[in-house]
Amino acid sequence: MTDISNPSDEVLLEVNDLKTYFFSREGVVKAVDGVDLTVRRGEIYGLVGESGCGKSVTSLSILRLVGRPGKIVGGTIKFQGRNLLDLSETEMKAMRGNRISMIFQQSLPSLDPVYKIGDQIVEAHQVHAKIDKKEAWNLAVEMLDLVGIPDPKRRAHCYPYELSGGMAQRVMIAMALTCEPALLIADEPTTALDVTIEAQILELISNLRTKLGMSVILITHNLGVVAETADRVAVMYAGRIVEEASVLSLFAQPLHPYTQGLIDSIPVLNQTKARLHIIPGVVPDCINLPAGCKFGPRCEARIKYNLTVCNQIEPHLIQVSPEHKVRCWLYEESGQHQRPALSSSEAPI
Amino acid sequence: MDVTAATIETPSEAQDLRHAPRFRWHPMALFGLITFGIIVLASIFAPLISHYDPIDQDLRSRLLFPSAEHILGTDSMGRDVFSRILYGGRQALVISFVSVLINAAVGTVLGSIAARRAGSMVDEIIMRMIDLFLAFPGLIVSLTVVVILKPGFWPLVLALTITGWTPYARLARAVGLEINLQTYIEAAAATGESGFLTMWKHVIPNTLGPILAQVFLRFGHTLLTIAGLSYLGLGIQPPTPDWGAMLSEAQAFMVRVPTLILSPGLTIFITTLSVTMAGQGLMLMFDPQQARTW
Amino acid sequence: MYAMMVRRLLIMPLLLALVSLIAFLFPYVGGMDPTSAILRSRIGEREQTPEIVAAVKEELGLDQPLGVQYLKWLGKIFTGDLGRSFISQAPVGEILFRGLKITLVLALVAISFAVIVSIPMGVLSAIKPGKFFDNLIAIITQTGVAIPEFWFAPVLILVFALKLNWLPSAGWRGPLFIIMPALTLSLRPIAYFTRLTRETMIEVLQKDFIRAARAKGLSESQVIWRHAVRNSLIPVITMITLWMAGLLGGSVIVEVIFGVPGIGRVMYEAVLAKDLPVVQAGVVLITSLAIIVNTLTDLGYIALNPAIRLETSQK
Repeated sequence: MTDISNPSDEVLLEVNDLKTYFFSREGVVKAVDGVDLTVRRGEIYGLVGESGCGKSVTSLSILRLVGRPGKIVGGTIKFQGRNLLDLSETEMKAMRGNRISMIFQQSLPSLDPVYKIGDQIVEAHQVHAKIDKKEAWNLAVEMLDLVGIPDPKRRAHCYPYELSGGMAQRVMIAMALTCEPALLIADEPTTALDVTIEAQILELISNLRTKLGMSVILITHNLGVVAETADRVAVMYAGRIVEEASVLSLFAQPLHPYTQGLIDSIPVLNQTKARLHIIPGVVPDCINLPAGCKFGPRCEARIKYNLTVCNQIEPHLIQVSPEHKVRCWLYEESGQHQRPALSSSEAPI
Repeated sequence: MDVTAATIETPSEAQDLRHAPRFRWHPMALFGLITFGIIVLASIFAPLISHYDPIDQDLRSRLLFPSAEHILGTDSMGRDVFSRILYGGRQALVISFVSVLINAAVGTVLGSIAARRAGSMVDEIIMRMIDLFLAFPGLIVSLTVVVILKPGFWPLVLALTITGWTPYARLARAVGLEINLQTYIEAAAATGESGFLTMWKHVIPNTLGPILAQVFLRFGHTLLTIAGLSYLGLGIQPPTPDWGAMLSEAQAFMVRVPTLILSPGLTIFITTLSVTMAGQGLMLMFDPQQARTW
Repeated sequence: MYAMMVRRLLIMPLLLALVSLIAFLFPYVGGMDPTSAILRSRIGEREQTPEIVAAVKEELGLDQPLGVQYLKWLGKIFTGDLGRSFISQAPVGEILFRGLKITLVLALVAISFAVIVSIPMGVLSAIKPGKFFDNLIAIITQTGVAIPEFWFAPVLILVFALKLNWLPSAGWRGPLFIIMPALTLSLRPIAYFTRLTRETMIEVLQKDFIRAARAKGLSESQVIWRHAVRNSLIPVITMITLWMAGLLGGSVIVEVIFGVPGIGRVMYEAVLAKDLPVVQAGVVLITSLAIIVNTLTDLGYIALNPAIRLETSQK
């Protein structure tokens, strides 16, 4: 949790009702189905969810890198005021790696094995700026130094196969930050790394954010990562955002039953439990999503409060407090359905 | 706060889970098999289809263009070309068939053994043998065998099988290596099944899919080799009609009667093409990752 | 990695020895008694009185045990003495190398042409798999594999030499003579190279670093030519070298039809005439070349393949 820099309120990225579907032989997979999120200048925005909930597809959609058979079918992605979905492909290419960069989960395979890493960083630069090779190379070495690679002058001549996973991830970050983007999308950057390296990389990202004043979308399935590094966080489920809040607010008072389930599932070292808490049921089939609230079938609160609306109508994402939004019938009044009387611990702030 | 009912997600766009058939015929496989089947059947039933005796010479009707009487015309000795085409594939097809079967059998067994004992001396020996036999110039070796043993059914089969088993062995080994890593092989070992039995019951049957595809692919190649040998006069001997030999005979007259080289050439081409396409199609059916569509 | 390379290198001479053994022994297996053949070529039938026969046998060392004969023969090969042709009495080495040079030129032209045509075709069909262009290329490659050389060649001759009179129909007296034979020889390589390039490219295009390159803002053509193609080259180069070796023995029919005096035709005529020294030495030569090329290609592959390097570097 950051307390050093104070992210401004200026909105850098605003995603509205984003829909990305995959058209396969078996049916239409609604990977992203109405996602709204807002990233402010200089903040680290965490995007959390289980595998397959659509977080990666969301990030690829922002950069319009979704491949066949996927297609962005609706919504807007406003970056610095402009809707990215309106841009031509040429204009979009000028964005990628330049104003918005992305790093991926598997860092080593994301580097071209036949080129030196110095050359690959130079390439990232030369695509967007008229700069000669020598100067670009020197800048690349500087970037390597910035991300904490020892002996950067020599390392720049290395090939990817000579690097470890942690180093490769640093190289990726160096490559991504070469053109000083306003937004860095980090798709599970530490999932493939061991815990000590993970901590280093997260710290690196956080420091760079402060130094360069850029925003970061940090995608992960690990709540611990979010708690440590992010300023705000959104929880995704079945292609939608189900809760969005500041990190403080989310962990102090998780509103959505899914979020509560996630947090409850984290084993705590100094607690003795007979059984680990799990969220019952399984993630829904993306081709055959249930009607109403997508989490409904697994929701213990629905049963507890005997709610029928959950199976029929999908709740909206409503603002429960300045820093907290949630998509759940427990907190929404819709005329016919009275908000259930929640216990004090569940009531919104 | 919007109070009106939110849009209910109707499943109109999402189709019901279509139970995609696990076994879908690839159009190439289908086309190839049907065409090849027609050709094989035509060869088998040649006596019923043709009106003329393919080796019957009629020197008064030499080099005639196609007509109502002779659908594809006559050759330099007055023989009806259509009949010769019908009969011309018999020997070549049978020899190819036999050779390919022998090659596939020998190659599969050797390759599976090598895969089963990967990394050992046996594997090394078999792999080197494959390298060795592959290095020999196939056509020249076949030529030599045929010249020494005089052209005939079994000499031709031998010529085709001396080095012909190698691609199957390579494939069987590659597939076998993959199979041997599967858990059901581990399970079999855990129940105390002998390595040899495992090979027969599990490894080889699962190798058969790719091997079958390879059989079709190599069949075309074998057919071309036989036709080539016949073209050179070292394959199927006259007066037995053969497509390759017919091509050679037609070459001398190709300026006068260009259609004469069309019929045997086209026939060889279509036969090879159809059986190769069948092989390709089969391969795509068994390994959809190679599929052309996404 | 080095262990693998050394093993390959050591096995090579073993294989070469085996090849020479097989080449030496096969006439005996095939019932072509080399002794009588040699005698017949040296002295006529009528003059083969027992005394003369014995004298010649002793002179040529044919009365020695087989093992010794083999070693002597092998020794001669190493010193470059490959014997003399039964038919022409010319030194076998000369005959073979003359033919080899010609076939090498032919093969080089054919393969170069094949590469120029097939790599772009393979790349372009990999970019949009399953679409029109890809299917068109697929049909072309299928056709290339199925066309018999001995049909394509006469048709070429008919059209370009006899009817249009643009090219000579047969022989080897100038650059124009290379065109049709090389074209015919290139049919099969074009089909195989295109397929391999396409398949390798499709695999490479799925890789993570391709997606990462796009995320850097590279244009699609930059992604394809700078990253995808570079990474697809190794298997293709491997195949090219193997095909070069394969064409040495596989050019028989083309050379016979077009009257090209290459090694294929030399071997063909030698086999027909049962010219043993030429056949034996020729088979040894071609096979040895193939083995050497295969081994070198294997070594190169092991050395260059980043995957193997990666495996071994993490030990």
